[in-house]
Amino acid sequence: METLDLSDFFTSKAESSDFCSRLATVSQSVYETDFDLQKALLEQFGILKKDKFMALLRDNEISIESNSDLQEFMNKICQKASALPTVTISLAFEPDETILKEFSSWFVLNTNHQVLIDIQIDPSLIAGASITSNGKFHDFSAKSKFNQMLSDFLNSQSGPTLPASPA
Amino acid sequence: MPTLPLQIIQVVADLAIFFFIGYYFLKLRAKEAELDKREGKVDADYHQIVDTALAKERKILEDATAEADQIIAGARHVSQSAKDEVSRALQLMVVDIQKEAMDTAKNFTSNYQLTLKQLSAQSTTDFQEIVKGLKNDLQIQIQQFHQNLLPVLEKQLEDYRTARLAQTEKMVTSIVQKAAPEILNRSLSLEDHRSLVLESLEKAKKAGAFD
Repeated sequence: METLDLSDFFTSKAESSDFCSRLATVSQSVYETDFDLQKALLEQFGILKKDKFMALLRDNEISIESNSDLQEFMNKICQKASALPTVTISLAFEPDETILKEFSSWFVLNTNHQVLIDIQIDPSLIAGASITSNGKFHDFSAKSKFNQMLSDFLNSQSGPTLPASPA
Repeated sequence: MPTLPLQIIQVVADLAIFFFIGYYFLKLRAKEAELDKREGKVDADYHQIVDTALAKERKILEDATAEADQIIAGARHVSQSAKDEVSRALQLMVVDIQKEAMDTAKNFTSNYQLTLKQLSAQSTTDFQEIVKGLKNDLQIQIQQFHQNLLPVLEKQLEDYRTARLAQTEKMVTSIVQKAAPEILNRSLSLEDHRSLVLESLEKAKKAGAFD
């Protein structure tokens, strides 16, 4: 079985849950009498994702005639989706779909595995991002640097040391 | 035949009756005349009495009127002379009273003026003394104020000024800390943000955040 690249279907945890839910709906209707895979995928995901899913099936050599294979494959996808690691990224701006995909692609390119991105918006970060991954927190935002610069500037103006600004 | 005595008796009776009736008529007429006579006499007496009474009454009235006129005339005379006397006495009294009132007023005025002069002299002296005392007290208080209170006030003012400046500075710092990040955030474009996030991801990778 080829490694499953699900980055074309979802990038964030919320999208992953939604994707699995829709896929489960399709999976439950596999054994129905007039089941049409393409039609069911089109209804749930739209034409772009439907085509990508069909390509995924071909890449993983899953026969669309075999309902059991289909169902098994769909379940495997959901299992993999739920097992994907989550990286929490706090941003100072609200990213659009393109930027989110770019971030997700970055993880695939640089870490060789897909992650689920949990985006949180915090304008006080000013720029950059703070990242929580594998239980560790890393602050690479401009906030701490800005606060330090402001504190240094105020201290140089007033003389006595002023307390650092709250985080 | 028996009817004749009866008729005679009847005639005799009738004659007796006529005789008695005639007698009584005559008697009555005499009495009536007597009565008229008496009545006339009574009337005459009555009129005489009444006339006499009226005459007496007139006389009495005339006498009374004359006497009253005399009394009134006398009283008028007395009244006029008494009036004149009383007027003279009253005039004299008025003059005396006026004179006495003027004397009294003059005395009162002079006494009052004298008393006022004494009072004003006394008040001026007392007032001068009080002013002098106030002046001394005020000088002492001003001296004490300069020595004790003024330095304390100056120090308190300075402390207040310092505290207010510190508070203002703190407020300005807080405003800058709150406003500057937002302003900087909004001044960056989406592309700048994207680049900075990718840089952060690179740094996180180098720091082993995704291992």
